[in-house]
Amino acid sequence: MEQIVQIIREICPTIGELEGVKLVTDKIIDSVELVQIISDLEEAFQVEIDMEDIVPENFDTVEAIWKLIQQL
Amino acid sequence: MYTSVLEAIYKHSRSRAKRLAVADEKLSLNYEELWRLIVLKASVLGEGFAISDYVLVECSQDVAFIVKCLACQYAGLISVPVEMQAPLERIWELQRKLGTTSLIGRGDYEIDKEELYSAFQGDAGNQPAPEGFPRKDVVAEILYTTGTTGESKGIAITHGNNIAITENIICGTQMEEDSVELVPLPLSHSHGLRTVYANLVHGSSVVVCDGVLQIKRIFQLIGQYQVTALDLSPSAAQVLMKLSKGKLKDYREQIRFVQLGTAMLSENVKDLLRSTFPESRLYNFYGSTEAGRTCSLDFNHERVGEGCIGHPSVNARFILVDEEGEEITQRGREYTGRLAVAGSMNMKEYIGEPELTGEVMHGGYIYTSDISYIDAEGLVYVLGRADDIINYKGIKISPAEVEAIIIKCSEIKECALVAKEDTMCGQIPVLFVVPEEEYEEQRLVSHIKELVEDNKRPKLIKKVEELPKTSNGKILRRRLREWL
Repeated sequence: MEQIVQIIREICPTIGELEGVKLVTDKIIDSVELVQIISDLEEAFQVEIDMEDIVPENFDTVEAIWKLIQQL
Repeated sequence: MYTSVLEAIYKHSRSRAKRLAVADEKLSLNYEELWRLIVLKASVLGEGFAISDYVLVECSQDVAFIVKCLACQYAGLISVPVEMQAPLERIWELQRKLGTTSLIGRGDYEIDKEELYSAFQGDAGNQPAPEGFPRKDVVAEILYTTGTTGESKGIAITHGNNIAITENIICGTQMEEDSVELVPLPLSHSHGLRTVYANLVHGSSVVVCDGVLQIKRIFQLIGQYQVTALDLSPSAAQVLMKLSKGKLKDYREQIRFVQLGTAMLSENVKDLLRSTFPESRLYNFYGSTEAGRTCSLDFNHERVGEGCIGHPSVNARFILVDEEGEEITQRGREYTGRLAVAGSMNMKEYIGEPELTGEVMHGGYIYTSDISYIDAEGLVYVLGRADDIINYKGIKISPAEVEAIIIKCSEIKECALVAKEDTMCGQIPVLFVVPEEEYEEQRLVSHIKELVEDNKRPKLIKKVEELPKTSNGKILRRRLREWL
């Protein structure tokens, strides 16, 4: 999960605390940033994230992203 | 023609009652239902507020928000759209500026179809024809724009302005009567809201949703409502194309046109759109909150030179003025001046700011900061903003022109050219670059030497991690100049 945190922080250096927030639902990251995060995740974990999986629930927390990647 | 968006909706509620007017993910309304809801909500609002009150309406990015704004206008109130989830400080700031305490929140005045049918007992014939619609010169809404200065300005838009703006959009896109346009852009901002109005004035259909992030839902809506047109910002277009991973191409025959606005459209995004929708009309609109969409170009079918913003919209008249404010009547690249636009779509005023209004608008013209020229065929070209043009030893350098050449170099992701004051030359051009990983300045310099005229080449190159930008993606050149 550290790698996911690192990717998010690299793309959003001023994001602040990741605990207790909903990254997409609370609009902490915007659509352009999410596209970059998805692209970096795909490269780092050698996975392809399908359009069907791009829903806020899968990207709202680091844990949710990790769970999604494990499923792929 | 109509005097207000309201009048158009009323007429359509009689002539094409069952035609889809507006829809979101949860609710759809035909013209008859939309008109009834506007009347119903206006009667409730009319009891709570006095005529001509400013009423802040928090954006919920759905059908309910559109109904609430229009109901305010039908009740004789002035709607003031506010961004979704706006911080309290922002709401207080607007209330203070407008001298009002009113606010319709996202959850207020909920829309419910059951309520609609019980109120009218399912019979549109019971509904009395309105006694009159607002006059063209009455203010319908105040739209707040931040602009590059960061100072929030309230722009007063009359009912007549809105009609002229919608005509510019309808004609500019050659909107079909059976058009169904998807608008994922914020409805609290002028661009998205005006696209909604244009469809409602035209009697076509509009589907709204909250951004392009929920890509699966976007495709559901495109399929469910047989969407034929898209209204996007350049960044929304990029996100949509990247997230959809090619699936958008499946709709290349269904999508008749895509219109884009709000920010500069790069050649890269244009190419992506051309390859996704090879046959569709792809419009880039030039405009502002003050004057709406005043110029458009179908960049998929018209081949034009660098900086071309296309043809003036149906209600827009452009002139060029020199530094003394005298009109330049000659045409061609060598006759450049500040672009000014006249027409019935021009705002009434900046609310509470008569001096600023006088500076920007006089003689019926709104004066932009864009240095432009008009060619012999009447096509308008923008070279850059007046305060962005670099005066190097008397040679006027358009940053946009030079940047468009330099950005083709694979060494860099982004670049911006700005002026640095210089005692010898007046100003010198300085290039800020966001480097790619394998950046080598010498290769960039060689590229520039090869492609850029020597008197327009940057004299300094500075590396930065990112370029400062406004919320809609425009480069904050003023900030870059401060970094020098």
